[in-house]
Amino acid sequence: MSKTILKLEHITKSYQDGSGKNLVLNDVSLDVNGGELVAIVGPSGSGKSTFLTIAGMLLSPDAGAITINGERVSDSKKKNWTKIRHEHIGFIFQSHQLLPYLKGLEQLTLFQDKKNRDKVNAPDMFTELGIEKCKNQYPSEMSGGEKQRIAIARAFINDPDIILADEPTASLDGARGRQVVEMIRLEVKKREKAAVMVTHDERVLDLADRVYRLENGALTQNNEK
Amino acid sequence: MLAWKELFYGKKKYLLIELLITLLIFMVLFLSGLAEGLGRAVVAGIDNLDAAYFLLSDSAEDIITVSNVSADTYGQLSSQTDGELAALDIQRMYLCRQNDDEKLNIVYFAIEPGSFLEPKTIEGVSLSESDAENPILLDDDFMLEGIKVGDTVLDSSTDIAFTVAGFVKDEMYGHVSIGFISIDTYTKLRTELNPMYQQEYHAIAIKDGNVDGVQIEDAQIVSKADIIQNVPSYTAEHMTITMIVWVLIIVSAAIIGIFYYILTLQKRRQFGVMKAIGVGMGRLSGIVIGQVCIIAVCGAVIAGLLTFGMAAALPETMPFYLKIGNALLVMAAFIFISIVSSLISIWNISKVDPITVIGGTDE
Repeated sequence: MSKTILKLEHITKSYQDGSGKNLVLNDVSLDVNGGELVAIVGPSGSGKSTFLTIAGMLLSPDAGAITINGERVSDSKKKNWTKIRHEHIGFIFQSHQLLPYLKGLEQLTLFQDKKNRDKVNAPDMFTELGIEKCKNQYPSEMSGGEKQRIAIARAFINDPDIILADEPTASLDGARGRQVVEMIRLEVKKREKAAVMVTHDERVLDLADRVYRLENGALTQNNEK
Repeated sequence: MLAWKELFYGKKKYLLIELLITLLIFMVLFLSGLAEGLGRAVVAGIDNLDAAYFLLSDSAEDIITVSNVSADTYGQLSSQTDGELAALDIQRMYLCRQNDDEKLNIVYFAIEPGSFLEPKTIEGVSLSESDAENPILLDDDFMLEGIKVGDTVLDSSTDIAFTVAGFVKDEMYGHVSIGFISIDTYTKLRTELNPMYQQEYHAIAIKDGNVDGVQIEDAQIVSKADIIQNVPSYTAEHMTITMIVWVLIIVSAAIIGIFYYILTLQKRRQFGVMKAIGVGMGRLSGIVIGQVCIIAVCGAVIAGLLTFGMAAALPETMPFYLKIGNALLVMAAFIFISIVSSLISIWNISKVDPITVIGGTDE
């Protein structure tokens, strides 16, 4: 059993909603191990995105702690968050969010730190993900699936500890969406990363190691698997 | 690196912006050349004199044309300073061509032939080399009136005839072209107008040397810069035009800033993504400043070349005068203000919250 990389403990978050308070996350805890892909499903507005932004050091919880690889990052000051995200977290967004003015390979290399070049080889990732032909293409010349695969590669490029994916299949059709999640799974297993994927795409849940449902601020594990 | 990639990718858009910026800087440089040229038309004659100081009478209040120092003073001054001296008279009159009643404006600068005040001729010979009785060196603007070397021209009030010995370049005083004559000729002229005329000078020029110990009654040493400042109307004209040029520089640079701000607003999401994946503000600021620098520097260089190219092609009479140093100052100020105005964009980027990238809709 691989060790726990991402540890979320007793996370609580509420928003001011008119006169009342809307409790989005109520004492939520989750552990993710290296090489494990966890999926979180739930109706829209259930707080999936909030959960991801807190895990991704973009938003601070009202209460609770976040530990990445033994480091309690939730204690650090906000101005250090960018650096924490840079070093520990790889994001895959709903839509690819590539920069329109960079060619495929540059999308990776221009954001990769020198020290990570030996650990993660950008051209190799293109081969692994089957998008070699996109190395010298601008995003406008690629298909949706290809762009999302480059986005996956970009998430891994600085050798992060955790991978957070926000609806990675939302802009793709069924078959392509499934391929993309397969790719994420492949890289997570190979590189021993802890991955959390928020999705409402029920067809790809079988690719996750564990599936949780977020509803009414509480996280419960699906039993069917 | 990112800065350049983006400019390259958006070639069409950024080239248009570059064109606009280039035209703006060109306009500023060109106007400052014209402004300087106009200023030169007032004081070039004084500015070109190879003298550091002038001895003027106290009552003149630094205005060279109303000063008068007696011939004796020359001797006194030479015993008090080690600098080389030369007398100077300035007189505004009219000139006529032979057999032509049309009066041409002229300012006589009367000097000792061969002294350090005598300018180099671009055509013909100098005053001292000429063997004519009353030689004159004319500003090249008179060439456009059809006057040639060897022609005879008349002083309109005395009918004293001058022989054109040669032409000099860029010699103007108070928007009027200058004619250099000898002190002897000048004395003849004055004596003709006033038989009681006693020789005196407007000023005595001092080439260089130490003037600290000079003590002469009713006279004072004035630097060339002060004399120029006190040429009637020069300071007021110059200030107005300089003001216009600087306002233009600031406005054009602000235009770059505003353009860039609009582009930044369109790219807020891209900046949000970069922030989310851990790109720090330092690098994002670098991209913005890098791009603004590239746009501003290229614009300044192209506009500079264009301006000097244009200046070479301009007709002689156009009062255009631009020193490389001044042009560089304008360009540097422009680049600096552009960078300062790009700080608004950087401030805007710093306000982008990367959280907006998560869970947002695809657009």
